[in-house]
Amino acid sequence: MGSLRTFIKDVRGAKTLAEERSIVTKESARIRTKLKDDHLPQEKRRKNIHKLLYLHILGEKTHFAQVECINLIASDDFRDKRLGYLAAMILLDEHQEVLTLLTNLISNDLTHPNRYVVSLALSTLGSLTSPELARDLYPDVETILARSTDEFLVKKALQCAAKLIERDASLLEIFYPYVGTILKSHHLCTHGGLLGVVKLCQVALSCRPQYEYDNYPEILQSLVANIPELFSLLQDMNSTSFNPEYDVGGTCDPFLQVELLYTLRLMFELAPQGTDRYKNKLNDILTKIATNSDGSKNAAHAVLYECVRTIFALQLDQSLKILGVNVLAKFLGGKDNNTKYVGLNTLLDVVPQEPNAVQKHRKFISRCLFDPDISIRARAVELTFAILNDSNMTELVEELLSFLKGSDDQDKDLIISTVNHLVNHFDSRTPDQENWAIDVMVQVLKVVGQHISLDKVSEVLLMINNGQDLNHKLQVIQQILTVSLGRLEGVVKGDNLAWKLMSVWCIGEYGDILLQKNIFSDTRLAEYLSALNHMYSDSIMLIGYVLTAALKLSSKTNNPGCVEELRQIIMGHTRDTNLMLQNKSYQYSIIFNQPAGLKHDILGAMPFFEKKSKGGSDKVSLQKNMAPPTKPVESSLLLDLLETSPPRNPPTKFHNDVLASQVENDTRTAPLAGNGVYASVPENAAQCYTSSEMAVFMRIKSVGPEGAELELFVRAVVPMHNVQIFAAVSKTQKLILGTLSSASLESDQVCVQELRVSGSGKLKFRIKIVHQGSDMNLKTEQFDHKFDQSL
Amino acid sequence: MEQEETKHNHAVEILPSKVLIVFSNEVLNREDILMNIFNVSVDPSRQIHRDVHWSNKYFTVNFDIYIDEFDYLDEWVNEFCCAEFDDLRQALAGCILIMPCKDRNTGNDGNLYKLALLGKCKGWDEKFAIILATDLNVDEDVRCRLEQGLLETGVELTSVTGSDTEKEYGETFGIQRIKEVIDTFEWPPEMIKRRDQTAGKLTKFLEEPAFPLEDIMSQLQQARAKYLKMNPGEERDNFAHEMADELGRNLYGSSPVSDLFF
Amino acid sequence: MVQIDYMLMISRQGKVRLMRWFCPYSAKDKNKICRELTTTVLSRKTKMCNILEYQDHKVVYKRYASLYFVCGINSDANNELLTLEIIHRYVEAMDTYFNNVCELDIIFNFSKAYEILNEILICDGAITETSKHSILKTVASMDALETSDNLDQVLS
Repeated sequence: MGSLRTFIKDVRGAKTLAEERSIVTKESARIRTKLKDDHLPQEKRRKNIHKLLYLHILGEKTHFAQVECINLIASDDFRDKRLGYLAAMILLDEHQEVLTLLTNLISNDLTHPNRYVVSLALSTLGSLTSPELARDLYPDVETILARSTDEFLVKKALQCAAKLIERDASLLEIFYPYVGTILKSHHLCTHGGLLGVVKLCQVALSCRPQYEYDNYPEILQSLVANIPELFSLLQDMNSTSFNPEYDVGGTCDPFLQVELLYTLRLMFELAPQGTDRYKNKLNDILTKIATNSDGSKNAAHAVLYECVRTIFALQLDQSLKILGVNVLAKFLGGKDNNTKYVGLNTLLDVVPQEPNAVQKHRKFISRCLFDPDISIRARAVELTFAILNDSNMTELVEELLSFLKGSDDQDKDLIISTVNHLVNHFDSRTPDQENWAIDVMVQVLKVVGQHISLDKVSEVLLMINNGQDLNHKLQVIQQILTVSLGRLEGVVKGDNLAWKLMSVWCIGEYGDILLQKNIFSDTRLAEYLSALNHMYSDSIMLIGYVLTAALKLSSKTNNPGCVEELRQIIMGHTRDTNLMLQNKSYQYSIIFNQPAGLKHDILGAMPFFEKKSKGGSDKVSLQKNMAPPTKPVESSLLLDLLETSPPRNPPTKFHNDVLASQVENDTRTAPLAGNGVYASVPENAAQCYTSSEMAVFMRIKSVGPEGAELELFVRAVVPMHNVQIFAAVSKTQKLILGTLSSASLESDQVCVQELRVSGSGKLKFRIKIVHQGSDMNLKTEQFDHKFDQSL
Repeated sequence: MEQEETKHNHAVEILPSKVLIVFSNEVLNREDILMNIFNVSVDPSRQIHRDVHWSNKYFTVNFDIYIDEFDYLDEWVNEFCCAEFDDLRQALAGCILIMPCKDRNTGNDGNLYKLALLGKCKGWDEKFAIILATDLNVDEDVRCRLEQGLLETGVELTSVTGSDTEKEYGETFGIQRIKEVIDTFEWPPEMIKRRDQTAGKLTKFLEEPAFPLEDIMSQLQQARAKYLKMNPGEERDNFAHEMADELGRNLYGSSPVSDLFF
Repeated sequence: MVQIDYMLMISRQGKVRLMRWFCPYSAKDKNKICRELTTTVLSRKTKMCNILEYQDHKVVYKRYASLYFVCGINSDANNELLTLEIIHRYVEAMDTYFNNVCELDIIFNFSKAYEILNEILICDGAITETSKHSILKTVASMDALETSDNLDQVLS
């Protein structure tokens, strides 16, 4: 177009003429100099301060104007005073030195003949008062309360008095009697005046902890004595008479009503005995407000909301609580989002008190799961979990599932917390709904798997693994793989790694059954693994699972082409830049070449795993935190499992699973148990532990700067099976566990475990030995052993 | 010392005294739009219009209008944002883009979002940027997302037909909104001329206890004159007290003077 | 009850037009709050509720014409719905005072905007007057007092 060039020429032509400027800084600098000029006419001073206020809004520094505020306040001209006080309220706060200069001026103005000057002084004192200012000026404020008949001044003096008490609690003793006297002076009790009275009450009721009062019970009693007055005010406002001056959408002065309710709440809370005789009346009034209010407008909701909060704060009668819950439920059913928000929030607070009443309204809560506003959805999710019980579980979880289905990427945090909640929930339930729980979780991964951390996926895998109903389990796996292998575009998103991880794991764990039942062909499964191996090479965790699945699947098929494809997958990572994958691929390649029978035994099905307890998970996470940063990011399902609780009720062909080598921490477990290699304890091995079941010995085979090699011997006193050895070394060292010679021992038989330690420091070990006795119960023995030698 | 120097250089600014109007080549009724915004007939084929007069109830200001057009928005934005035009951008109060905003360039393909470049230009956050959509025909949801997306890049979108939200909030839209944006721009003080405001627009709140100050003052003067004419004595004293009380009542609203502190 | 810690007025173009702090904040915190809330509030969709959690407190905001009125409330005892009504009352009062208030009115009369607010909220952000008539009568009386020269001197 070229027009822009015309314009730039135009601008440049004018540039030489253009004023150089920096408006804001220049302007405030100009004002600064001007303010210093004592001969400046008042009119100009006002203009300057006015500009300063403006600059203040723009975020400029205006501290140099403080003294000028005071000059203006000191002026006799009302225009100056008004602007000076305004500027003081806006530009100053109670921490400024300059306030001391204000004391006398405010004191003078508090006794000024003009009510507006007095009002400005009261407002400013109320905004800026420091404890010192409060002590200096309270007598002036008290004089107004004691002597003025001007409602306008009294309402401000009451608010100001409340603020003075907040700054110096001892002043309560001066001001509290005015609550009663002013309530009795009816001409002062306009709504503004009443707002001042209740504010003074509220402060009086909440400042007790700040000061040692000699006569607090007396003060409290005098405040409580006003309850009948406050009641009748509330009742008046809820009677039918319409007052246009205070009407807000059909509600009479919601502001005053709410403040009255809050004041009453404080009185009943703080003086339970003194207020007891009024309790029935309070119940009546609250019932009336809660039932009669026409609840369609925000103003009415504000009053109802305060009413409900009062009911629950004071733990009033059951019938009122039910009424309160119903009011809140009505909030959820309405159209207004703000009302829904406070409704949900309050319901969350009251669920522990009234779980049944709340859960009756679950339809309304569920509806909020689909609200366009995320903060409402989030609270609805939270509330749904809060009311979840055995009887409504199916219904509510279905709702949550639909919520997840309808969610989008903005909901990520909410999705994650929903899934966490669900997992925890299923975790603490009895297994009678196990199948259903598995179905739900698989669905969850299907719709929102892309948001789920792979750690959480392992919890789902655990649920599947532990499923008791084999037929159902097979069905689920078939469903999962039908989706994954069927190339059903769009059903599962490309970035849903969680789903892919689950699919891969299923192939690894249940490949044999799938092949036996001829559900999928071995080539199809291998192709899938191979495809993922290419497509997701940057996801270390997924590739780790692919390698394991490839290894496991290879032991379950005889198809040479298929085996070769799987071998290629594993071999492809022997030079992986990721050390963990490289290591794994290397180890697997060794196992890959073992004779079929042995391999089959090694790669047996996963045992039933008991979920870690809460304490256990803490321990694990603590360990993870302590682990050096070089630790591979992969977190293994088995790390948690092996660390905390050993297998229960294992299938017969159970062995230390090859997956155990995924454990990357300073705690290690033996990767493989060999078959039938029995040894005897050498003489130079030191006995380091004995129990009724076993004796344990250790010896150092070699120790040098490059590391130490050790052997640990377990001699069985009684027959033991499924022996597992866990060992930990100090943080400065690295431990590699070799093969455990045998996992099953008869009495007096010995197995040996090799340990290799590198790093530095003393050779110290913590050893945990888990085994199963002849009664099939699991037993754990643990001890520490220290050698004199160091690395 | 060196820092002082650079600071000084930054302080040398060109006054933001021009408004840039950019038409999409699809917009044909340019003359009408310019007429509606600036209330003067501006020949859209001329590129520079000097000293266009702008006024509202608070001030008047004269500024230049630059008129440009584009075939493709992204090309135009790219060019406009390049360093060559730093001085031009600095000389602008803001920029009004007028285009149809049909699906073709409102979709997710990000054509409009290209304007994000503007936000990255140095000093642009002081300027206004607003799109006047002459033919926005997307549904409310898309529009909402579009508005939010643009807002993040510092560009406002308004359409000649307005949105549900704008209607709900009684907001101005279209040409009116453009005017409001020009009104509320922080024009350099040296460019604007304040207009005198008429005071006392709230007399109806003062009527209740009759309180127009002029009345009181003239009452006071009359009373003073009458007092001076009266003979000294009880009658004159009573008159003075009555007047003082009455005036006091009027001045201090509902409360009698005697209740105050003097 | 309601106790407002701060009130901001932010334009649709992201400019702060008024700010009133009812308890002491450092200049740094003030800046941060203004900056962050401007972005947050402007990016809220209309369907969203007007209450949001920010830092350690709640923020209640409402949009009127091209201005957002934003209130920070701290204590749990605060009634969020009533806070909305306070904003509304304030806007109503300004609307009457300026006869259909617009952003430009506030830019050029911001001290009036403050003065009206001062008749509604007092001390540490407590509500002191709910009658629109009383609020405006006070402001108008003070305006009138300003236009009469040195009234007090005449009286004394």
